[in-house]
Amino acid sequence: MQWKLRDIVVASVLAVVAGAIYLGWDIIFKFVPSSVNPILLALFNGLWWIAAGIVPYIVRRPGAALLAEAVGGLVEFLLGSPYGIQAFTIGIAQGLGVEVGFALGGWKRYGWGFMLLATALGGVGNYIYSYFYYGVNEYSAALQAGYLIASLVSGAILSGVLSKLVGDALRRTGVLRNFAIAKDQAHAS
Amino acid sequence: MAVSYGDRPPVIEGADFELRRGDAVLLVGPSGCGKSTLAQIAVGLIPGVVEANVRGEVWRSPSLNRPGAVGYVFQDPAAQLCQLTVGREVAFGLENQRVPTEAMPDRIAQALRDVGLAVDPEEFDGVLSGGMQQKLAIASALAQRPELLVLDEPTANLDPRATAEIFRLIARLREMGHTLLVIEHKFAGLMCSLDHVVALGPGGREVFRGPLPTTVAERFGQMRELGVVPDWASSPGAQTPPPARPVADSAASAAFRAEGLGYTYVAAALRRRLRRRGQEPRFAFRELSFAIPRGSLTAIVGPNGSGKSTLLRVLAGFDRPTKGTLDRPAGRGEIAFAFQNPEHQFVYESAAEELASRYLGDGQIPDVVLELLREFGLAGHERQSPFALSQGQKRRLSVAAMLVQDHVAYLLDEPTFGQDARTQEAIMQRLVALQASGRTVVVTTHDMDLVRRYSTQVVALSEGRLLFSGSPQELFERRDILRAANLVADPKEPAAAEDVPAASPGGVAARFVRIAPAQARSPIGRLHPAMQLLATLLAMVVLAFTVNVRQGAYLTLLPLVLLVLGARLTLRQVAARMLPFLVFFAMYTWTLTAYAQVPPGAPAVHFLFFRLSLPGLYAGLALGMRMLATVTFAVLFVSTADVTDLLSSLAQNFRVPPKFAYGTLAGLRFFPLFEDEWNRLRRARALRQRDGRFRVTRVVTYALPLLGQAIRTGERVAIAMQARGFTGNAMERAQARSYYRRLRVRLLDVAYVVMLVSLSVFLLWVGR
Repeated sequence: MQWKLRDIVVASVLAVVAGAIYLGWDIIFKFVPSSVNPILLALFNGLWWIAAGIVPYIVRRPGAALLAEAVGGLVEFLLGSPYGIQAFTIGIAQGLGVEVGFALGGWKRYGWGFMLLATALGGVGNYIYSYFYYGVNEYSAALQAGYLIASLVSGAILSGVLSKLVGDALRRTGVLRNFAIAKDQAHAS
Repeated sequence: MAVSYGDRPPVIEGADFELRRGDAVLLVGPSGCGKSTLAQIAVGLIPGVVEANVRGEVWRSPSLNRPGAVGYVFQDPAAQLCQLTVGREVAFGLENQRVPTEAMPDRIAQALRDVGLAVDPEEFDGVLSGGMQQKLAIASALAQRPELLVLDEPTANLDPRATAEIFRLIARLREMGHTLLVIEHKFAGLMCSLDHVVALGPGGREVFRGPLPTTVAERFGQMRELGVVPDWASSPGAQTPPPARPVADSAASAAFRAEGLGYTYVAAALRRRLRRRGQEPRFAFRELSFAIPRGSLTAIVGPNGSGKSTLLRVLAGFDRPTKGTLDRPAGRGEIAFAFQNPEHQFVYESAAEELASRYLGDGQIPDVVLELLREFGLAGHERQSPFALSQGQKRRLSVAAMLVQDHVAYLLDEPTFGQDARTQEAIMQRLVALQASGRTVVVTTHDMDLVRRYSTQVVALSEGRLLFSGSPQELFERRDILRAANLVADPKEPAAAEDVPAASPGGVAARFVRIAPAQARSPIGRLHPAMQLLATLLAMVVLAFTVNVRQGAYLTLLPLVLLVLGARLTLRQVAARMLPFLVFFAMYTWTLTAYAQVPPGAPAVHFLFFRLSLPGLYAGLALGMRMLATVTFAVLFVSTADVTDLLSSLAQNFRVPPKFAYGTLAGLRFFPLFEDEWNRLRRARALRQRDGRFRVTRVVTYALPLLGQAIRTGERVAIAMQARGFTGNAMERAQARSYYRRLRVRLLDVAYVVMLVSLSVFLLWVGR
């Protein structure tokens, strides 16, 4: 379970890509008018923690989701996100949420079930952060519940499903031969 | 010894090898014979850092186990640098060896002098040319004072002149008395600077060994048979005139004809602005007039960065020329193009689909495709992902994909680059066959033996200018042109042009990787980066309490003032940095205003289908101002805090294991590289779409080449870092290494945090 240097470098590399994607997502959603239903918008939140899905899926180490999301958020911040340093801090919250999910599986289980569960939990981190910083506390209880559920679903799909598809496709190309994802597969078969 | 990776068949089997202290050995062999594996065993990277099963007996001198006792220079410069500046790159290895901070600057300067790299240690190493990066990698190894230095195809990615420079450096290393193991395909320039040659055959078994240079001359035929050199390569010292290839008929009509052709990457709008100021944009190439005869095999040659690849893309019609005229086959599907990196072309999930140009799934593979796969030695791989093929197989697949349909002209960017002798031969034979059937073939290449053997026409470029256009026979008689175009890899001949850094990566990337020297020296720039981060975080907490426009404006002004007074940015620089956010702010405020839910009865103006109201505008401005304040604090941080220092301080001051701090930094370094890869990928995809063969872009397949390349490179960087002594305690324990720049949290840093936070709170109160 020890982190190898290659796990860290590759986690960081993938987080950099994710950070660039987050920035694009920031810019798109900054322009969505506030009159749009927040539940509808929350359905797009999940992409903001895709690093926390794909990196643990590949390297499979404790802390991978948190590290990836912190680095992704840092890159998003350094590149000039309109959210400023909040891009970094919310990343930590989202990463922690996902980390809890993988911790529940003892950092050993990365099948469909745990991928969906963990990445959905990123939505909890996102909800708690937004509750304090993005005015979610002002919503009605029903709206808040809707926002939370939409974030969970969005995380499971945009972070979870996407991460698993991309991770599996990468594994088939053979570039992940030296990473935990390929080794687990080898043991399974 | 026998060595295997994972459950794959062994790379090395039944091999014996000996390397003695003080020896300088050239190691040659066909690709896949285990040269690198052998070298990595010699330096102790295998087993351990690189996972492999090793059987047999290996004895290494115990003195080689000390960190930095061995140096290993890899072939890809971009995949072995792990820091952002030249000085820190060299310092990284010294830190691993716990060299005291005070002794580092001298050791770094000495190492840079030894390799002849005259650049500022503060320079961002991403702007260096490939040859300079390779020298930097060698300097980094030398600074560690290794007992054994391995150079593993150090010139594979370099043009002939940069290659010659590295070869001169190798000769100098030999004179300095280093123990060297050099793996090199283009060994002609090393014949007199190394002592012995060892040729390996399949399984890493030694075929012959002997003193240089005599052994190579005696055994050249055997080396051809082994596949060490392609069959068109000429034996060193025996520079034969080009064989009588049918020279292109100059009377034949031209397939391509250029008159005064010029191209610049600078966008039209910016060009107009420059012209108004009487300035000229940088051209990739300009004033090119030449003709490529129909039915010729034309080679475009010249040093790295001379505009070869750009010219090929303009010929293909991907990029419109900025100046001049170009006649070219312009019909739909008349031109086929192969990118330097074959992966950029792959859009399907299996090799067979790639050739069929459509999704096959588990269905029947068309016979034509099977036939083509067999012809290119890819039988049995039809269901495999194109990305999972070996380098040679990928290249063959990409060439095969060009042949599925008939075209008038075939354009290939460095088709033989990085391929082993067998693949090179297979590709060139196909191209010659195409030419024989009357098609026009245009390739860019560095390989002058290939030009000599196969081309019927040559276009030589240097620094974007046309040096020569004519027959290869003529070219090889013009030593002056060969030298000017850096086409001579003769270490005895001095280089024509000075090695200059490549254009600095523009925009976001440049700012992302390093802060300007003026800001680094400014009062805020000298503060502890982690404390700056803390100050920014606390300012954000304060910002969350802003409710009106005034508070937002005050809290925007605070960092703006600090940018000028504390970070020493000129007003102009501040404006330039803030401009994108101001535009953003305006648009953001507009959407908030236009879509605000206003109480009924509030005065509102109807404009188009928007309902604009004063309360809406006010709410929009307040939120917009808060956002502007947030980003201004961010700009202040990004302009003054050095990312390397920030990560290094995590290890130095907060006891984070160095592997996390430096591993993350090595990953961040990739950002500028991604911009390049992304652009190349987009071009390749545009081409496939233009062909009308590829319709639905599937996100997963689109991301694969980019991520696959990034992962491979990241893995290599990690190995290169460990090869420099980043192992064991040096990597796990923050106290077990020394630091190039000592960072300490001083009273001043704490005072800055307190000052920034209290000022923010004060402004919040004043603006209430």
